[in-house]
Amino acid sequence: MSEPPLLAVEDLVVEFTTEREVIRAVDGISFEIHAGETVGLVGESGSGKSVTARAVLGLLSSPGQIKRGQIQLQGTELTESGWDDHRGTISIVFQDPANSLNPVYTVGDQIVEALKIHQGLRGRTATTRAVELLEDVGIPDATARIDEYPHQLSGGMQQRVVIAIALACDPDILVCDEPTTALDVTIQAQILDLLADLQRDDDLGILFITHDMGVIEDATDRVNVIYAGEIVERAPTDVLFSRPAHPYTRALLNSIPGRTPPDAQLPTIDGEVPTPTGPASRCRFAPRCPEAFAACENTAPTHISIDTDTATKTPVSEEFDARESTVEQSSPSHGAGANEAATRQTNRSAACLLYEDSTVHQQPDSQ
Amino acid sequence: MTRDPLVRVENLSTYYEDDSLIGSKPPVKAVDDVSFTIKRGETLGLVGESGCGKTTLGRTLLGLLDVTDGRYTVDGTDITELSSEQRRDWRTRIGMVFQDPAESLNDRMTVGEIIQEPLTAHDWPTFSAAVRGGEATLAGDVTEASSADSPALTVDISGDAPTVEIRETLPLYQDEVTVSVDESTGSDPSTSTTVTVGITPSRAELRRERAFRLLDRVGLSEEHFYRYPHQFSGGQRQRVGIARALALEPEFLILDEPVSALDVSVQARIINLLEELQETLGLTYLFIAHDLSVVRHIADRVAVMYLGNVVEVGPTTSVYQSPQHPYTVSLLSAIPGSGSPWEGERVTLPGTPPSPRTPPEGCPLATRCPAKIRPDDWSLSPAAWRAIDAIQAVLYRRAGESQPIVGSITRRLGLSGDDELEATIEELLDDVTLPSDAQAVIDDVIELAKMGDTDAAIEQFSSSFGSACETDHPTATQHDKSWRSACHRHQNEYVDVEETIGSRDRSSAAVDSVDGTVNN
Amino acid sequence: MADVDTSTGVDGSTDTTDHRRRRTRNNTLRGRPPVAWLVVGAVLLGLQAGALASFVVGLLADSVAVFAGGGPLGTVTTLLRAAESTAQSLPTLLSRDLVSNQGYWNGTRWVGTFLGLEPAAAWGVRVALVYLYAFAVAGWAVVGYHLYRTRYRVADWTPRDDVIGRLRSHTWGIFGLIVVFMFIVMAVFAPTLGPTTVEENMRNSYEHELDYWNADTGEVETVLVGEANLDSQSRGNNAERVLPFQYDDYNRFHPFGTLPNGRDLFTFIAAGSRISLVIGLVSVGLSASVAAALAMITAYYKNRVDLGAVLVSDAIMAMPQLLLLIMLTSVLSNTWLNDIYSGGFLLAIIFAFTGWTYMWRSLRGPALQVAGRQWVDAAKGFGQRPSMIMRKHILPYITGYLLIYGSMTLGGAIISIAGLSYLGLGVAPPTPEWGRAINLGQDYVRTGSWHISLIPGLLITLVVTGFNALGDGVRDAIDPQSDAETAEQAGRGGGA
Repeated sequence: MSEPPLLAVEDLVVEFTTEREVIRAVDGISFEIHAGETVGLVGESGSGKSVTARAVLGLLSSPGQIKRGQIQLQGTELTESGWDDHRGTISIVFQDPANSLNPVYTVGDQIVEALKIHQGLRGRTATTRAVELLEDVGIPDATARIDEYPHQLSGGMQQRVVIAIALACDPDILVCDEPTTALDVTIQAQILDLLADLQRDDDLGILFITHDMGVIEDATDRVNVIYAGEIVERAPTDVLFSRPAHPYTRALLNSIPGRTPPDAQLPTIDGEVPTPTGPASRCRFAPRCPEAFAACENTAPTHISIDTDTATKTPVSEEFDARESTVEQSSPSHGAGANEAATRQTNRSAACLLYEDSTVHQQPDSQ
Repeated sequence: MTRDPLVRVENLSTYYEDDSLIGSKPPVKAVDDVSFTIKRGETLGLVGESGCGKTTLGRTLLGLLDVTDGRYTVDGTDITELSSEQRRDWRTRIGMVFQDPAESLNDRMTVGEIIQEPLTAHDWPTFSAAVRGGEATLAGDVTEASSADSPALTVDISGDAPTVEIRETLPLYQDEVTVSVDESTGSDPSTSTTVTVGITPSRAELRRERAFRLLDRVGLSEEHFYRYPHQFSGGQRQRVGIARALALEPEFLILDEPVSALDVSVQARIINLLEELQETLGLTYLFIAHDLSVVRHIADRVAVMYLGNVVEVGPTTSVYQSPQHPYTVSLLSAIPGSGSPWEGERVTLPGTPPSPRTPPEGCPLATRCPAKIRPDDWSLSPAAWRAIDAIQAVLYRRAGESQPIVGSITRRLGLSGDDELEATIEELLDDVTLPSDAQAVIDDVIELAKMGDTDAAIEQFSSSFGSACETDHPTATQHDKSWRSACHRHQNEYVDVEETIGSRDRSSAAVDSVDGTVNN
Repeated sequence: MADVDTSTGVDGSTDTTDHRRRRTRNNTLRGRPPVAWLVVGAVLLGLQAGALASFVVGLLADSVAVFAGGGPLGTVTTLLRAAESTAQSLPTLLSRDLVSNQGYWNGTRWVGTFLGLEPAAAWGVRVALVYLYAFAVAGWAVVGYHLYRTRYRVADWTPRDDVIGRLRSHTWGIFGLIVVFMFIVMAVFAPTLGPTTVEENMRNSYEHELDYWNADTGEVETVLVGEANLDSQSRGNNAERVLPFQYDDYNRFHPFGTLPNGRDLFTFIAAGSRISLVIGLVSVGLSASVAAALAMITAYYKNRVDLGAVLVSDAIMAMPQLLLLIMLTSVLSNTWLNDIYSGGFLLAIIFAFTGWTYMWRSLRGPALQVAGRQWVDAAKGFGQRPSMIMRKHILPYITGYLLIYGSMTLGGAIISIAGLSYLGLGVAPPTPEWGRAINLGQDYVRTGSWHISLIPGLLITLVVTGFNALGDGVRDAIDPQSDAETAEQAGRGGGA
């Protein structure tokens, strides 16, 4: 990617300080979004993905706060400058449209409000633009809908209105926090198509957050898998789904009912998602990992680059030999050289000691 | 295992009547003339989107809502005919697992209390006993078992010493039951033998024991008995909900979206648990869900609902591999991701479902069907047909709205017109040229609508551009022994659904599939 | 869990003693009984055993006497009265006899007061003792609850724990709680707290005598209490007025000064607090019961039942409360209802009759919300009876609101009663009531006898503020949207 990213998050740490303890909801997350691409952030509840979205938008309310990390929006460091001047550049679409819209104002009022603040439009120009926006998001009969209240619209329509409001400020980046989770599957398909169209037309960068693996597969170009506040794997979407590297990703994909024949028992992951209360001193997935070994309990893994073409990296030391059967064989050229893989510039990395190599130990370069 | 179905639903309808004192609106037809059967031990999946009535159907089967029309029987008993007292007794045979684990458990009660509550409500266990090997009257802690239910204890007095058989699910042990047989030397042996049965543990103890066993069965541990739901995760709470549903040893379990609120890894565990319980306990499930992948995994047969009607029902593999109803096709095609069972193109339905208060005459899917029958009299381009579909959707929507009183009066008096509607329709026809006769119909329709008479407008529209889909409600066509769907295209004179969708899809290359309007 | 056979998961077939061991375990006490706590409790009880016994027996006797005429019930009454006087003769710690402040100066020292202290000090000691005892009992109860929670309760956490935790850190609520507690102690121990008694100072003042040191003659003399009162009247700027914390000419200590008719204001206030509290509790208690029951019934059955209740409550709310009060008081003035507490009981009934509507309206919303929750549906689903559903599934969620509105309504009731008494419509003389004290002193507010109106007025304000603060505290404590919970949930993001 030659152009600079629209949004670059680097080592973001968010803590929640309660009476009893300090919860590290987000622990060192880094990712980038470029124009025209959709980046997915997928994880289960408790993984910290919603907190990430709010942190990036400056919507964290106490007792949550950004402990450290950088959020660069087109070159400006948001943690220093504050978000006030940049609210028009980055917008968010939340999960439940019924909660995002104010029930006592008409749909038109709410879009016009956004237009007033960000574009400075008023009166008839604002209304016309609002109608245009509704049409852009695919609401038929927009001139009639402008005067309706949110409760008069169906869930799918409401979410389209929310997207319209988000687009009113002409943003460069759209953050979508579970935008289709509350919607039916056919409406979800419509909304995903809409987002794809909008991205194509406006060259938007989209951060798509969800727990639904199927949606991620359809809607994103690149995926980050988040577990217990950390990103455990990142890869281009097709690569992630065909050759998942991290054991958590693999387990997650296996849990999807569609991937197991109906008469077989679904594979499951034992245990519960941990709530991190301090910096990681070990791999957070280790207690539940089917491929864990001794070192996993002592070392916090860092991201290791993996070549996009290979299945998974063959472990190097003999300690790992016993586990070779559970790890797919990589391509032959890879056997000798961990170095080779490392030096090659890749878009794919996993934070797992299975890929750890004593000579190669690098953070992924900008993706 | 009997061949008869355990659950039989026949022409069931549940309407929500409008309760207002002044000016009542038509009832909401949440469930409209639904029929299906469920065999003992099988799982019927019930899928559909929000507003299709599947939750209402589940609640009606549980007895929380009154049946408006039709009947439904469980194991031969017609539930709709029961008195409320009988219905209360019968509720022990049916259990329900609710959707939201955070909401379906009372936070102020411990898990133990929650699981025991159904037991205390029905004064479980009732020690019903039956005597074998002779005539006798029962006395002591037991009551005479009615012929309908299986007795908790069976006393055998045929041998020298009386023996007792205890029903398996009762947490009672042999040494806690004392039996004494008293044979008086009366003239009539049949009435003089008295069997006195004493049971040591109290009912409360037995209930507690049963709750512990249920906890164990759903994969929780003893300490959880004393905790509050607030202290558990969503998956664990759902297990408690399942344990509560199983407390009274039901045969039929209604599961209303039991895994929708859970993460995918937790979902897998609960699904495994449900399958295991079904096998061990011989349960029959009605599995209501909107997630088609889950239903495919767990259900033997699946029923698809739309706007209160069952549009297709059949074996899961058959329905998923070759769906017969256009709605099923679009539902399956909308599943995202590579785990989707559908391999073809996505078929999106334009617009939104109509209000269940004013469902369309004829087929419920008529306003959005991707395979709708078009009358032969017209030869219009596919783009023109799509525009016409969109106009129909707009008209239906206007009809369903309640117009402000002043506006409707002025319109009827001809003082003002609904110009907006005209503008919208014109815009929809922007890139389409209609033949003059078609355009004439459209102009008529616009005139009628402008005057506020949307009903007449719709009628005019339907009579010109409509077909059997608008006028007749489709009857079910049987494809197989247990597979049927309701679509007019199943009749021989029409091209079948699969072909129609395929052909229409191919010609829709440059279309924004969102609502049928044409964009470049 | 090694001792439980979970391999088959099938009920009943394996017969191990381990299963049975499970059965006998229930909420029995774990650990040693709390000996120290029980001993302290016994001591505290013993100190006041006599008073408690006489109160209980007296109450029984009174209630039986209301319904007795002669005959068998009459003998029961006499027996109870006898028991009451026996109980009264038992020694108790906080009695006027033990710590007496009624004595006289005999030229060299104080005679008849506790330890020869001056009456002010003796009275102070007694008041301090009363409040010390009250706080000791309260502390003992708190310690007991704490012991129960940490050592004996099987559940290691209940939702109530969070509520109590939040209440503990709520300063305003704690302030309210303390004020309310002290008010209740004053009402409960009213006869003990006053420097003199209502009987002696107000009702039958001409049948009691007291000794005092006559400064003019230099001798101990005797006078009727009633006459002493006549010489201690606070009427404006007259010479005989007795201001707060002053002695009158008869060696009597008046913590709050005297009334225009010479009677002691503090005794009047203490007795009046009892009336206010009782009337308030009765009226609020009745309203709350009616409101809660109705709220649950209308929430469960909805539709017509709800509509009917709304119509009835609207009709009652439309009636002007004050006029209704006046009318009913005068109409029922000659009945037995009016005799109890000199019309106080009647007032309480009328307040309850007109006041339940507001409470019900406040509870209706939360009750309807709770009735729509899924666990209520689940209970209906497995065939739970409506009464049990209301009790177990709806009631726990509205008790919080009951407490809030109850405590605030109690404050309102106290103000209303005071207001009515001020107007002369409430509790009839000679039963003391705070509002009447304000009335009695209203002519002298700008004079040297400012204390007569000001002190009851300040007390009313303080007490009602205390009740409102308590209500605030309870409301914040039961509010599920409190900071602690949302913060944790936000941090955790919900579990799997």
